[in-house]
Amino acid sequence: MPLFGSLCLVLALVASAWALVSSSLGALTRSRSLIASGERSSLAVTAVLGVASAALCALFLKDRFDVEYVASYSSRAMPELFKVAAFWGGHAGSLLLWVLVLSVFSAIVIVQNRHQNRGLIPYVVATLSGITVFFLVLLNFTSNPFDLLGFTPADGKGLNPQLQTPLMAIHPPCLYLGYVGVSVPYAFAMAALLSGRVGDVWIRTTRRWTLFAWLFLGVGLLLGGYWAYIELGWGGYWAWDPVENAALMPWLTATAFLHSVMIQEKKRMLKVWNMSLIILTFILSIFGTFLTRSGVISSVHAFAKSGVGTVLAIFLGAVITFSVTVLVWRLPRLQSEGRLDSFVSRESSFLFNNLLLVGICFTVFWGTIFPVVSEAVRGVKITVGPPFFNTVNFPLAMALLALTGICPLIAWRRASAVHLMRVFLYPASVAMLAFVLLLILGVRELSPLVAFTLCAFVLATMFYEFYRGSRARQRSTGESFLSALGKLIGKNRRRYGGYTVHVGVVFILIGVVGSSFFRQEATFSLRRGQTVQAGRYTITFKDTTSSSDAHMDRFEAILGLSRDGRDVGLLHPGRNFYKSFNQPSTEVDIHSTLREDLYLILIDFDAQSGLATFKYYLNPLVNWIWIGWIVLFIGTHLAVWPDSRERALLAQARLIEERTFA
Amino acid sequence: MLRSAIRVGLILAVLVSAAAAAASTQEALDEVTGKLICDCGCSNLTIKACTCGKADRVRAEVQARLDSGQTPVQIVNAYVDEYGEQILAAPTTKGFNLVGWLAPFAALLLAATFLVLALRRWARVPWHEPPLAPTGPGGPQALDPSFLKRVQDEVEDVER
Repeated sequence: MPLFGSLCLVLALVASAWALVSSSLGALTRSRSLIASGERSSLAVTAVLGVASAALCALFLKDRFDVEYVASYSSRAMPELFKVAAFWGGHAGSLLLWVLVLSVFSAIVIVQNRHQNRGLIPYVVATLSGITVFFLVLLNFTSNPFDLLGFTPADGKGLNPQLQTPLMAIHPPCLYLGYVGVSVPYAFAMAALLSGRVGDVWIRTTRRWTLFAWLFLGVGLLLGGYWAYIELGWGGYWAWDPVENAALMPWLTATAFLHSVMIQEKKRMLKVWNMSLIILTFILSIFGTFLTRSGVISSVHAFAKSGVGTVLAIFLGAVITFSVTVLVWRLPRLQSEGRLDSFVSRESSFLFNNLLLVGICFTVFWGTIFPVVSEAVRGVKITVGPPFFNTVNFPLAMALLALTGICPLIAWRRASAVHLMRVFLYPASVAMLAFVLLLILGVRELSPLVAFTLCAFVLATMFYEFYRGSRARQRSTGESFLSALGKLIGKNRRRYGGYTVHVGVVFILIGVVGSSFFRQEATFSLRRGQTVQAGRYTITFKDTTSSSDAHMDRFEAILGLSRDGRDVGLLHPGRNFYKSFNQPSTEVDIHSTLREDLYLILIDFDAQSGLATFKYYLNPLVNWIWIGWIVLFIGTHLAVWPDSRERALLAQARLIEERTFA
Repeated sequence: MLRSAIRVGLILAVLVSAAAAAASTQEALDEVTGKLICDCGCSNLTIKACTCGKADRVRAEVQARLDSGQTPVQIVNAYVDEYGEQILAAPTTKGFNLVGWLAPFAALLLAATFLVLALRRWARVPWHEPPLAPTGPGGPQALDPSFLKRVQDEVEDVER
């Protein structure tokens, strides 16, 4: 089977190389047979990679430790779910997953566009095949997951214990759906530039793909944060690790893109900027892969000694050179057709939103690479950790939050002073009220005071927008308020889906600010029956339990928890000892409420004295981060849902383009 | 009575000052450990946040140094002398490191200036939208007001 897997990879490389050549020649010569051949080859790549991936899964499930990759990331005692997740636990498997997802997306694009966008598709297939070829070259020549050891060990090394959680099964695939999803709008952008069809079609066609990639990058970040929170035992969810930053950067530029395309759609402006943003987003997604695998910057996520850093750097350079060259070549066709009516308009507020999003992205990029810059310039190694990112990004994030509230209130085209006064009155009053309330509640530190006040302002803006729209509809149609609200959202899904996403973002920020500025923590030691006070909670150390199986030894402490004198349950923080990895792992337990999390870690237990040492974190409002992501998820689905108006606009754009190029 | 009150007062004063000292020691410990990065490989965490054994040892070391009378600045400098600047969780605000701190703001300021200039230029140019209807000798006033109202409503509907 390993040989079969390797053969599949070779076959996929040959087929994707042909898809690249055939689609490129087909695009240049307009030969239908070459274009069709390219598309068929691309579909064949998907099928072959599907078979190769199934083969790798089977090798993991059958404990084939004669395969080096299986021996490195799996063991007999591992549950089957984690054996499947071990597929992407290492460098070679994650590359295979990457290229599999890319080939599936290519197939979807081909099937979706059988009868439309025919002028763009050969270029799209060529671009996607080019990316596929590169990753298949890596798989075939540097990182083949089917390589044999030459002997068969009795057992495998196993997956890192910290990765043995169900979240691990979905966190990397979600991130990859996002990273790879970015390739589709990038391929359409390149197709638009290469074919000269730089109108609205590529943007309108790829809107859902961009939202899809953006959503999954976000979900990947959320799952990574949640995994860190419940698994790593330091009570936090974000550490500005270089690879976390690498996933955040394309998410930020994609967010900027999702806003700025609206100006292109409405005003036919910012064509160069939108092209640049999607190119940048794709480059940053490749940069993330480079960071994880190059070893240039140390990270908790780094794949040790993968040895493909140089090749990835060359590919990154080639992508940048190719994209910028094509963009510069087509600059004359990318002139703005419209103009702004006024400096004070929603369009200009969107541009400032873009400025801040790209500014935050630059800050994250700069902080991530500054250790390398410093070493090159001064020869001194330095660290750029959380204090840098928190300090520099906080004012930018607050400015962006303020704009999130201001943008929807400013009219498109031109806003008059009277109009601004009228629409700002209610949200600004709510913000003032929130400010006073926070002072009364004892919040004195400037940063959380500003952050919470702005959160109140944005929430007020969003609810005001929903209310204003529903009331306007109610007046004109005579419907009930709820019916008017439902129909308002149904008929303007993109707009109100976007607002819902903004509400989700505010919830996330409330959670981040609450858990960052008001966190309490303490380390304490107890004997059985002793208690300790943690905020409004009383913790009583009751007992310990232990168990053992072929996979691991478990040790748990049992603690009673009461709040304001009432029992609220038991907590079971513990430590697992994974036998195949010879490594202990902290298992935290969390009592969650909307107000706060009591996060408990067992640090040590001395069996002789019976003294157990624990650490608790009281993380206020932290659950609003996860709730915010759920709201964001719902909002994105609202925005991405098919819309007859969007379909009509896309059909119109296609008609104009076909007439232009007929 | 007075003697008892003084005794209670003294005990309270000792307790309050002990609590204040403990709080200030904790603050100093947090200050120092919040500035040092843990290189255990777990994540990009400060010694204050990290829960690994190495972070535990460094926290104990810092506590011992504080107990021996060293100031937080002295302790941080001692670690930098021993391990180099890499031990600091964030770059210092001196020399070339200032570039690290200021570059994001400088870039943003530059981009904002460029954007404001571009917006001024774009907004000055009149809107090149084709007229809604041919303008006759009577100008737009000659249009049917109900037609203009309908256009206005539809524009608002689209822009909502």
